[in-house]
Amino acid sequence: MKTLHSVLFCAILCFGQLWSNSNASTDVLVTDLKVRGNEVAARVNKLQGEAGTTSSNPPRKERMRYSMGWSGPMGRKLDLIRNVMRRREAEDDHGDSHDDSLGVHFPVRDLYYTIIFLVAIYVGGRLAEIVGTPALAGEIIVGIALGPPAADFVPIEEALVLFGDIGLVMLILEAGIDIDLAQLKATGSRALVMAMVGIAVPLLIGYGLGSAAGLGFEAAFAVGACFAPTSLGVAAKALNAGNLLNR
Amino acid sequence: MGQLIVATCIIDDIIGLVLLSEVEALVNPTPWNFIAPILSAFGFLIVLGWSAVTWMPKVIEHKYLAYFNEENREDAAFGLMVALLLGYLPLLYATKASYLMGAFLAGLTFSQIGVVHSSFVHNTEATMSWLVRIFFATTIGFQVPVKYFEKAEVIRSVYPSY
Repeated sequence: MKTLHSVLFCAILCFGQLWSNSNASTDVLVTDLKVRGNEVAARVNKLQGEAGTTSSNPPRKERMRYSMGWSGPMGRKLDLIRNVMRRREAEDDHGDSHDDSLGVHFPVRDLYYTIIFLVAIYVGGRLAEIVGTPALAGEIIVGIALGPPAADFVPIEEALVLFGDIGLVMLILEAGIDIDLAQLKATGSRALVMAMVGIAVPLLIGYGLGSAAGLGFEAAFAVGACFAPTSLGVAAKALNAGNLLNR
Repeated sequence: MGQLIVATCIIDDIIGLVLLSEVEALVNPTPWNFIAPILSAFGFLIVLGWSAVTWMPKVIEHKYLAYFNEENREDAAFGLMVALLLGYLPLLYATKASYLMGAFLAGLTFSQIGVVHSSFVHNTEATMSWLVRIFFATTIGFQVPVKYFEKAEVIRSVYPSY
């Protein structure tokens, strides 16, 4: 009976320790439980030895070892406690679960900030239109200001860039669909010359500036390549905003 | 004038996509890594681009879409375009050309098929306007290294260039 009381007392202590140390790491707590479990086992053995039951009642001792061991009922209880503690650790201050086995989750704060960012993009675009510039100028400025290079306000920026890249794929896809072959044939030679000049001149200027700044071939070429392309998306949106697209 | 600029931008984009592949080749600048994207890009432009403006639209319109009822043709064409997009993207990426050129060629294949443009606009307009907003703000905006703008090296060497 004393043994049972000791075990229960220690179990209560363990639970109390667990719940009062919810911020401690699981491993530390489990180690603590193991130590306490071993202390209980030693105390039980001592009591049994004093009572002269060690040698006379080996099955009971074996049962106790089994009970306190990690494969026994106590071990299973400790496993249960460990799982609960892991679950508790997976929860942040907002109560959001991050346990991978329960699916993909994220803090509400990230969701909230992302919505604010999306609203800011929209508002930035509208403000840019109000002051007479294309909306994309405002959208880019908001991206620069709130993105990782400056304020670093945006959570999970990779996800947004991924969606942006999907937008780019759709933009290029639409550019392909929108091609007016008859128009392209009519303006083809002039457009080709303009495109070649439009690529070559900025490329050479960028390369020259890069070389003048002491950059190697690769870096200077990369600088030139940054200057070279004229984005169809930017040009089309700017022309459309100025009602010049179909003139 | 606007159409000329758009046509110029289209050709500019095609050259720009080749240039993008060249910039990516700078990561491991061997002669083959520089030559392969050019060969691949112009090869696919000639083969797939030529196919996209000659026989493929006819086959799609007269053979493929003819199987479907009038009311299902938009969806059938849209589905085929997405399938072509999903085929071209990895194909051009794997062959060291730009995957964006795959998107362009997939779109070009349907440039002469009337139902596709309206279907594309109908299906994607709202989504695309937001994705493009996100593209400008993140894919472009996030890449601008504004913190470097105040560095002495940048002020000394870059600003005078402007």
